[in-house]
Amino acid sequence: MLLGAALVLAGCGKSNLVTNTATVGSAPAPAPAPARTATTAKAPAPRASTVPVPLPLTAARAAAFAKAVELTGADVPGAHPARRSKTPLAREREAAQCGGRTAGAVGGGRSPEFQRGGALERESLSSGVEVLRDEKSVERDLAYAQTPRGLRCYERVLSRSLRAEADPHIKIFDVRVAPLSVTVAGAGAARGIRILAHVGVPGAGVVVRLFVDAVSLPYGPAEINLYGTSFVQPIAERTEQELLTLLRERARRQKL
Amino acid sequence: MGDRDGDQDGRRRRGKWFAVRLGVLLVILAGLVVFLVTRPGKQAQSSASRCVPSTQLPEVRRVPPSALGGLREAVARALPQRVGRLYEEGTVRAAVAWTDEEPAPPATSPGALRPAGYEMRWWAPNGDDVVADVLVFGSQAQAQRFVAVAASSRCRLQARIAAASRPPEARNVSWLNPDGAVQADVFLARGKRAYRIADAPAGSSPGDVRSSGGLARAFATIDVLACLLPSAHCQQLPNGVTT
Repeated sequence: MLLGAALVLAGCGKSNLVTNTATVGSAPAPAPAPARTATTAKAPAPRASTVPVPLPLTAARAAAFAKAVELTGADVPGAHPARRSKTPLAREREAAQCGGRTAGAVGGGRSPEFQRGGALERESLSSGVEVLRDEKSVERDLAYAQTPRGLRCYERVLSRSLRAEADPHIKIFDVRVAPLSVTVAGAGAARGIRILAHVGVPGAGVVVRLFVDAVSLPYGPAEINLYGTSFVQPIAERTEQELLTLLRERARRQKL
Repeated sequence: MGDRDGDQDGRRRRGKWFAVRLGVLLVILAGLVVFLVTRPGKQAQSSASRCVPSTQLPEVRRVPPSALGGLREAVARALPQRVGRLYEEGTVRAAVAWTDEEPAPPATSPGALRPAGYEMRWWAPNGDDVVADVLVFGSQAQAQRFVAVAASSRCRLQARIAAASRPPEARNVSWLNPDGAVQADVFLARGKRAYRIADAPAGSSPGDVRSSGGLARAFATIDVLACLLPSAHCQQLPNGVTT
């Protein structure tokens, strides 16, 4: 369930906006032609072979797998773990209905949320692993999230969630959800959503873009999820690629 | 019979046509090989990697991952508050000053020691490609040695050296980077640390960049950005720039 965590991130992102907008200075920069070796993702590789699952999947095994795979502070230089705010259960249920999932997950886990930077440079990254019943459930789950119907549903739930939890000093102007795909070397592509919200402080005349990325990489019966929140510009694609590659490599070294 | 002769003629014509096409393809392929081997970027990259002797160039220390946070914070100051679009970051080694290789991703093992060098890369609002590096050496003398070697014309194509307008004791170098683009660097040593800020101006060719004043603007930019680095000790800054 990609959106459940994204809801939390979106909430966290805007909580410091009143102080952040005090230093707004410029518009985001364009991405022109490179004058030195540019970031290039390798071409998507053929779909990885099926992940061996020799024993029945249990909640305990799923949790141990998630723990071995998750992001650590060492993966995000300059970041410190922050306490995650709790998403209201009702909102999580509502978000779950946006996905195509019919049965609950076997188990999994979430990393702490790693925050770094101050003011407009503040960004956060976290990961999550969810183990479902089988590979097909994962495929269904991820495919539905990117359908127009799934995206509209997410947009509706997110708008409601952001407005309901908004600080009285903050105005949410609009919330948009778009499909997102991140190429991961040797593993095809991670798929997910990018949430873009225009938020501002009434009277200050300043509007800032808030990006929340939630992408998921299928790994056998598991979904390896990466979440990123950032102001003004999204988390660098290269950073997302590298972290997903890292999480996948850890998954390969750990038996599911 | 006539049909068979026709078929044979057709086959011969097709055979000739295939031979011609094959010849053209081979010529194109040969041209591509020549282009790839002789383009400035390749020349620069190979000459740099061959030229910089590891015995003369000090290498950065190795540090636990927790030490990288402070290094990142130091270089992030160079282009603050999302002025540029950050597109890449990670650890680097001393040779990056010549190779311009992409920074390394995080290590799979969370406990592994990392090189004490960190780089961030941005697209500036004017389209320039801006890079900031911090490199931590074992001693102050090593940091100064690195800057002395890096801020020279050694192992660089079309290099020009000058004292930087600011910060104190900083040095400027313009050169043709491994991708064949003209680039302006500023180097400075502060304690055990060496810093580099680089600006590869947007432009279609090195000649265009130089003739349009792009290189002069790049030097003006990096010398001011270098004043935002820790312990830069700049005396005067342009209006609107505060450290």
